[in-house]
Amino acid sequence: MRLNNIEKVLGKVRELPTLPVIAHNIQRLLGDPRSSAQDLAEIIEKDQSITAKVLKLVNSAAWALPEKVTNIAQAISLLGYRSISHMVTTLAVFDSLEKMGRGSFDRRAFWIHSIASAVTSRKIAERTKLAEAEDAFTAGLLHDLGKVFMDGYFNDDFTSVLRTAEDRGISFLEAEHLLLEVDHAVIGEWISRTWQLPLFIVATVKHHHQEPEERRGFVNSDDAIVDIVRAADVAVRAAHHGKNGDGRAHTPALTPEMLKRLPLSVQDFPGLLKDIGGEIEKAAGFLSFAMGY
Amino acid sequence: MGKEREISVTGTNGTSLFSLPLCRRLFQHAQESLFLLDEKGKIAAMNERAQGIVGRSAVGADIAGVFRGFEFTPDLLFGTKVIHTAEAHLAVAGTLQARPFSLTIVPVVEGRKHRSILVLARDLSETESFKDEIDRLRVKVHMLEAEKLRHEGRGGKDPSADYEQSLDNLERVNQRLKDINTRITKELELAALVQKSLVPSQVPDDRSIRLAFLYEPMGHVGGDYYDVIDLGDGKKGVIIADVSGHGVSSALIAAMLKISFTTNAPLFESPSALLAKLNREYCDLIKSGDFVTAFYAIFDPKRGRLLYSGAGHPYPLACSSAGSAAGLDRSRGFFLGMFEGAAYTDSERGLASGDRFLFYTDGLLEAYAEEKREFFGSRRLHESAERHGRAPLKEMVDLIYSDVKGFMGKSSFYDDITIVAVEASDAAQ
Repeated sequence: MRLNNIEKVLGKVRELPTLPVIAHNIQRLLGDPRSSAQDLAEIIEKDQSITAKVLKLVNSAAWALPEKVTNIAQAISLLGYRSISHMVTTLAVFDSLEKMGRGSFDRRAFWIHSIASAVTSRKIAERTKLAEAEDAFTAGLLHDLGKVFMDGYFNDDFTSVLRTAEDRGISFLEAEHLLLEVDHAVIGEWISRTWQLPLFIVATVKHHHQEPEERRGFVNSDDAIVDIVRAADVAVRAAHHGKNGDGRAHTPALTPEMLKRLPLSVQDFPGLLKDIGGEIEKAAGFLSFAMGY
Repeated sequence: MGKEREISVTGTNGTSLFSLPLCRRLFQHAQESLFLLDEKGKIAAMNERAQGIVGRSAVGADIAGVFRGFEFTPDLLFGTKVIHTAEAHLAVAGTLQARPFSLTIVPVVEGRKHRSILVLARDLSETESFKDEIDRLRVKVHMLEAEKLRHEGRGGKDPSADYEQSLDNLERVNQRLKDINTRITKELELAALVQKSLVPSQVPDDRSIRLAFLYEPMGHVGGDYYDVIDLGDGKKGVIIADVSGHGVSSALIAAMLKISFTTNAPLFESPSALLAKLNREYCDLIKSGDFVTAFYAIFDPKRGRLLYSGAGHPYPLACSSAGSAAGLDRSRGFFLGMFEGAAYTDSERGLASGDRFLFYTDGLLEAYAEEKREFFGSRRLHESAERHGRAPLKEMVDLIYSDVKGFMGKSSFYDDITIVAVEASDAAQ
């Protein structure tokens, strides 16, 4: 990695818009073993905008709940403490990412790729039992957040990477390494750490293109969730769900090497991805109001 | 439902009590599941609730295909009695399960020829679950009554040995939790004492600079750190730092910072060189994702010079003797412990007797008033520093903190707060 322009990037990271207060309060609650569902409900209900979004989300088709959810306590009892905490954190992250502005990149197609990665990560976690399903979903959803930052703050560089990937038929990451001094995984790590997101998200964002032996820096750098999201990311790119910035002529392939730490083979993936279209469509409803697409 | 026809029931005074729109609305929005059958037993209409339980519109379908066990016979059309007890099962979509329903069959005759049947369906599984709940509550009440009697010494025999055993277990677990909680609290109090011993609490007896401190961790221990070190030749090094996160893990990193700072500060004449050294150390050492913001300044009153460098930390305020407050000029610097290649730069300014500087951590700026939905922020801090800038140094610190607390009202602090005020004294000249 070359380092010719790094100060500019660091300056922007340092001045990132802060996450809404609610996100920090929820992270603090998650780290407190004495916290209760009632504490969580109280924190969420202090933010009327997030409360409205959560209720709208859980009442949407994606969750297909048997009854109408009218308050946060009910949402927590139906979907669980962890799931609602992740949902609020994700909404807060989306809110802050949107403040970074948009360039010419098809952001909706990008988020469809992220949602496909999230849904597939959850499926792999459920199948392998190597990570909590909701953790895998959230890590899958946010693994490429460095790209949103690049699109918002370094649009010229970002556009050059997209064009190079397209012209040369290579991946977004390969084009980044040709042109820039930092890649979206490193930038994503800085952002997720600055926002103090849960460490499994930070580790996934940083390591999702690395081989297991290259991953270091965090106590959970070795966790299987990184392998899960990496496999899901490659599988959905190969199946062309959404757009992640790869050149159109580039189709990544899932290899046995990438799956060596998971009890899965390449042959398991067509089955895993079989019904994913419907799930992506449901989850994409999330975008319509969380992101305004 | 076919073409609208006028339906009315005339009251004793001759006025119409029911009209078709009223009946239609009743039918459509009733909380009962309603089906209207034609003469062949096919569903001619169903209301919203009925569509909800079936999961789709079943208009045109045979009622017997929707409710297993219900047989439609033409006799029903010609009966006059309402049948209340018909039982049938509704297939649950996508599964082999069926939910039990109680059906009420109501023959309807309109005019001479038009006959239809209204079917009211009631979900028995809901009723059953309520019954179960009532049974559970009944058992609980019974047990509580027995327990009350036992405590009052009038019951004699315990009606439930198992229940008593459970209560004993619960009491034991509760006691154990209390013991653990007490132990953790004691350990945290001890940790707080250790942490307080790591930062200066007494104002050092120094002729060249005066200092005042305020340190309020959110919990027992916190992730803020400040220190003053004698660098010789009249120079003093002042550092303020804030570890991301809160609580014990941050306090451990803050303790690590104390060791790094006191070991390394005497070795570096340049603040930026010290920050670069600390950054390299932390990139290697911190595996928890935490990072540190810091600001380090070397006061050199003998030469009338202040040298400083920042690492992603809020910039201190310089309070002039005329009462104005302004942030120190910015110099670039990334957080410590996040990127080993980060570079830091030094800035310099003159230092005169009476110059005051206010170092602080972002807990001060991010003190959040829930009622106002606002942060204290840098504008209010500037105003507060200007308002109290001429008060004695320690009083100035206390008054600024008091402004923050006043702003917050009943809201709680969500971060540690540290303020360090430094004043170059007359003796510096």
